Amino acid sequence: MHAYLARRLLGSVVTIWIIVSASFLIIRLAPGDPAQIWLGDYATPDLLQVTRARMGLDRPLPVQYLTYLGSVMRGDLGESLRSRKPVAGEIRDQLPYSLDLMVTSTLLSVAIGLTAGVIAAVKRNSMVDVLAMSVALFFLSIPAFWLGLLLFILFSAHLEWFPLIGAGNRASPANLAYHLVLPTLALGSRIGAVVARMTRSSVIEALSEDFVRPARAKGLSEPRVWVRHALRNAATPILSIVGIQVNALMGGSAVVEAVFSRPGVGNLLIVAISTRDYPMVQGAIFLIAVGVVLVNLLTDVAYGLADPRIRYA
Amino acid sequence: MRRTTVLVVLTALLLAAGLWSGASAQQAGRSNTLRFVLSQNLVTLDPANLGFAADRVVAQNVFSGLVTFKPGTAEVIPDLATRYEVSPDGKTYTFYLRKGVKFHKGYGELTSRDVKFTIERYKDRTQSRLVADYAPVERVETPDPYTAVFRLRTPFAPLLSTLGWQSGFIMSEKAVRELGRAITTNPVGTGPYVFESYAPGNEVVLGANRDYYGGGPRIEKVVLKIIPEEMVGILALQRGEVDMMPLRTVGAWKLLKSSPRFQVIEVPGIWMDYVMFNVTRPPLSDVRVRRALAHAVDWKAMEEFYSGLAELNPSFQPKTVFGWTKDVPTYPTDLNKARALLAEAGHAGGLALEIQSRKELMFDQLAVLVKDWWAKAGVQGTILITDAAGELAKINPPARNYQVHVQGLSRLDPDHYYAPFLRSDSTTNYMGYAGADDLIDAQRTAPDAKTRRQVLLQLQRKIAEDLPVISLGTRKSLVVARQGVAGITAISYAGVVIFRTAHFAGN
Repeated sequence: MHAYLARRLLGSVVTIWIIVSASFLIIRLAPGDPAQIWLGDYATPDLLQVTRARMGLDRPLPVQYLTYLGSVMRGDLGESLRSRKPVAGEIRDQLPYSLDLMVTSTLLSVAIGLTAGVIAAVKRNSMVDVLAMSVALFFLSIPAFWLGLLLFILFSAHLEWFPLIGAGNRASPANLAYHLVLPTLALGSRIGAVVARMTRSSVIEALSEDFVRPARAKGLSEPRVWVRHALRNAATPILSIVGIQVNALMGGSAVVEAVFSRPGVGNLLIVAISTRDYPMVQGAIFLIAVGVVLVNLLTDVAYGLADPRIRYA
Repeated sequence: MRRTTVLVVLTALLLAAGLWSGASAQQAGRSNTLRFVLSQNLVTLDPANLGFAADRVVAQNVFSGLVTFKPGTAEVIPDLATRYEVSPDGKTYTFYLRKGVKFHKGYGELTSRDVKFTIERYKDRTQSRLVADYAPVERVETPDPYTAVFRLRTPFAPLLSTLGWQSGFIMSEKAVRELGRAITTNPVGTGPYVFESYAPGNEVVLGANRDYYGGGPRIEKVVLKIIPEEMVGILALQRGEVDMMPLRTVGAWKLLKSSPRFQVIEVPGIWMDYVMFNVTRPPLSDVRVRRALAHAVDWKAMEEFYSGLAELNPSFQPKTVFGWTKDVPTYPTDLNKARALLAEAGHAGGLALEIQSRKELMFDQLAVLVKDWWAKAGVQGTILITDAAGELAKINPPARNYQVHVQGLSRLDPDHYYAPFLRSDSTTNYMGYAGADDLIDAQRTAPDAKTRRQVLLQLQRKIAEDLPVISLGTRKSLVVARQGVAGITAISYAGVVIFRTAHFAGN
């Protein structure tokens, strides 16, 4: 297990290094000079030069790259070119809002997906099954931003059940939750659909296995058979699909944040890209990369807990 | 099963709690609080680096300058200075400060030292983007705590406008030294409102400055809700979640201008819409082609599109800015003349042009209009949309990798239109025009207003004749508020509102 973890950690570091390098290069390939954008029509040739120097953009690209890599390794994400505040601090301000949304979306999708999937599996080929899987297919096919817009138009704009804007007041959990309802549905329903479909097929497979018959023969109640025996054995593929989907959440949340005028890292990233705020773009992508790698790692470790047959060596 | 049940129940509880709390939040008292729409997060409230719309709204109410603009005009009036004198040679400006003005948050009384410190900071190229604005200022002297003397190298007519706009906000030396970088989100000014708090993506809160020298504001608290989408802002206004918002587009303007529930406050604006040409490359280096394109503009349709949101204006500068004239060469809609001019220039068989634009502030809509009109004169336009940063990279000198470009500008001094955009050596001379450097310099260093006005008249005629740019119109500065909010002061800079005079009817 330890050797496995060490190997995986090393792999993760390499992955993050590749992503950090790619984000460093790609944002610099986009047309637009941050110094020019910052100065606007105040720019004079020598001011541009001074500003580029202050932003560290006058040095050769390899030097910029190595300097950046060095500071990232020391845990320093640099300073925003736009606000001149530390990138880490700006991300820290926005992160709670994104985490809220990701956690509620994951919880909601897993709760609904598992329930719907198990029910569909045990009532296989019934009306309930057909209905559940049709609904799942619907949500699977609809992009988060589109669903978000529809929810927004119906429940916020017309029915006025939910707020139009923002993420609510951090001091009040209830108010936060109220602001999270629609974004969570928009972001979570697709994953819920994926989880439901995966749960259904895995549980159906597990129910046909030999160990189910003795469980029933022991006189266990049906729900106990479904959950304790079938679902537990179906857990590994479901876990992996949840892991993959949580990663997709990080990208999807940017769009959902924009639709609902929510603060968050995604929104921060979008603004940073449009103003060519290199350190901010790199910082946000770095954070998302670390998040994805961590989730992957946790998913893999969780396999072992879910399925005793998997042992890491 | 147990775990799933727990999760489902928890989710349901959360939703219910949320619904309840939302309802109670809406009922919460806001007796003397004004809620305004801010279109983006704050970036920096350091006056040396202002530039984004939302920052400007906040800064305008937190800071004040030696002089200011009379709202809705380009007339400079005293503010922190009770009066000022300009020497006959135009090289010395003496400001006499108001006594007893207090900086917010206990940072003490404003003195001439703060003025000197602020201007020196603005001139510091490592800290400020205003360096070019203050280049002619050699030094600031402080003969006593209430007198600040500006010594200039050359006469510099735009100085008062520079000091009267946000580029002239006076900062507290003590606060800047003590707070350091924190001033970007914790500004200390002398304005009618004190900066209280900022929750990114959510709101900015300002509180009334009870020590304000111009008489305390009537609204106790101003909450600026961050709502990027204009349509969402309008919905919030209709639902009573906000009281006021700036209007930016024709769509929003049409939707709200006739509603009895709302009032629209309009003042003459300074926002110019332009069609800029890259005059450094054929075919647009030929003035006949540019004039043909101006004749191909359907001015009546242009006016209809604006539907009162903007006025046609043949000059390069807005009417409200000093020295404006409409007495310049114009190009009435005339497709035959346009075709004849194109033929004369060797394009009888037509012409293909690329029109650069971006998808905001109606620029893309203007580009489509222009393209359709030009098609009638045999000019095939292709519209290219990029983001603002990509656009800048494309149109920037010296590359100027474009042909036609739809752009807008908003400035308070004539010099701020001409010098950056039409002077040959400027880094923002996107058009590559070089025909009026002498006139631009002459209006800048004119010793008195009368001379300056004369030069500006010539300058406007010269630009309209050479036509490196077609001026489409000047947009008004518009604010919409629900009925019941009174005393709203909009200024010519679109989107910026002075909250000091606002109050609720019967309050």
